[in-house]
Amino acid sequence: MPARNEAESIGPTIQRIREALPGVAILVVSDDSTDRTAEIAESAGATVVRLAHRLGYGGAVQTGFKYAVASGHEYIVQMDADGQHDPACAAALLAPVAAGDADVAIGSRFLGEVAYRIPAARRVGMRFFAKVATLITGQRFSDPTSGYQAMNRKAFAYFSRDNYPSDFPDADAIVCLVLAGFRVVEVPVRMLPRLKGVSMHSNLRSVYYVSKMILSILMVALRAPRKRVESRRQIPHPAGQDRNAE
Amino acid sequence: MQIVSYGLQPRTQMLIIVVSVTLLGVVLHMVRKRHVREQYSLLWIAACVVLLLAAVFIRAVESLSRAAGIFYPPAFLFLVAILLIVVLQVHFSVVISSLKEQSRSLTQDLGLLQSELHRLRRELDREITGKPPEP
Repeated sequence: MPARNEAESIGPTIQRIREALPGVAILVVSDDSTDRTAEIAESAGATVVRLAHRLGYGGAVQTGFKYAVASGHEYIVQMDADGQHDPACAAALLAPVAAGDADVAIGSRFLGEVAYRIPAARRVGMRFFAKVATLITGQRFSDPTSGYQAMNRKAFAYFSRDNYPSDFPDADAIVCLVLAGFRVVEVPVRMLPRLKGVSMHSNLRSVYYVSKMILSILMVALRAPRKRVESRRQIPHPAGQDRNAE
Repeated sequence: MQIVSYGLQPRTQMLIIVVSVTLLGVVLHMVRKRHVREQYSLLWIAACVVLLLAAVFIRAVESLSRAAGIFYPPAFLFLVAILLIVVLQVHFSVVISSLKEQSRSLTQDLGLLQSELHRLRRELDREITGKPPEP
């Protein structure tokens, strides 16, 4: 669970996860938070990794992948710290991955009941990248920006190496996975309203964001053959825990 | 030999020589003082040498310039200088990207190690004091 300055929502979010999924290991990666996010998460019972300087969403998520690789977890569920992701959906999200039908399951906000509003400009952007991802992979994706995902060890180990988009993973991460031969599915999830705090998306940066994403997808597509070879490498997995919510 | 009015004049030649030698001196001095590492100074030194050679063999520059279809030789020199700067900038972008990558990886690993240290220290504390683990 990547978190930056989510002091107000991190406690209740962890509480909800513990209620919905008793017994899972919870990891919070605090991306150089300037408030008490890390302390609150720790006292709520989560393992906390503090980043010394701000790495952004992608860097924080990848830290979680590295942690999961090192600690020998088989499955992870990645979710946002702002409480928008309903932990009750985690089991459904993990189901296809745990059953071996997919390597990655992405929680889509648009497949199921849409319980929240998105600004028009962002909706256009999301549709556009969903279309691009669909076009390149030949597989339908409705919500590539979703930060609510379940993965098996093969997938997060792949991302824990240098394959993860560093800034803000979006359609490029999905295109990268599909081209590398991973099986990706979408599962409908319910979104809850934000608990507190400020969303990391702002309209000012959107021009930069859209151009960067187009470039990023293009590059992922061009790099594909080399990556496919890498992904065939066997990943050692130490025996141990079987489940982990990140 | 008649100097054409729009060609490179000895004055220009002297100016370029002075500029490139000064630049070369500054770069070498900085390397000596360890303000710049050898590997990053190489491109600068190469740029200075190219500029110097261009100034010394000014006739060659003029004929090269004509061959390239540029009939105002100083403009050709500018073009060479700009191209050198572009190469240097691309080189820096590459260096910055790799530094950024290294610092990201270090930050992640540092965070993971700190968290691990924290956990081990707590466990050790428990073992020493003999207290049962917290629920």
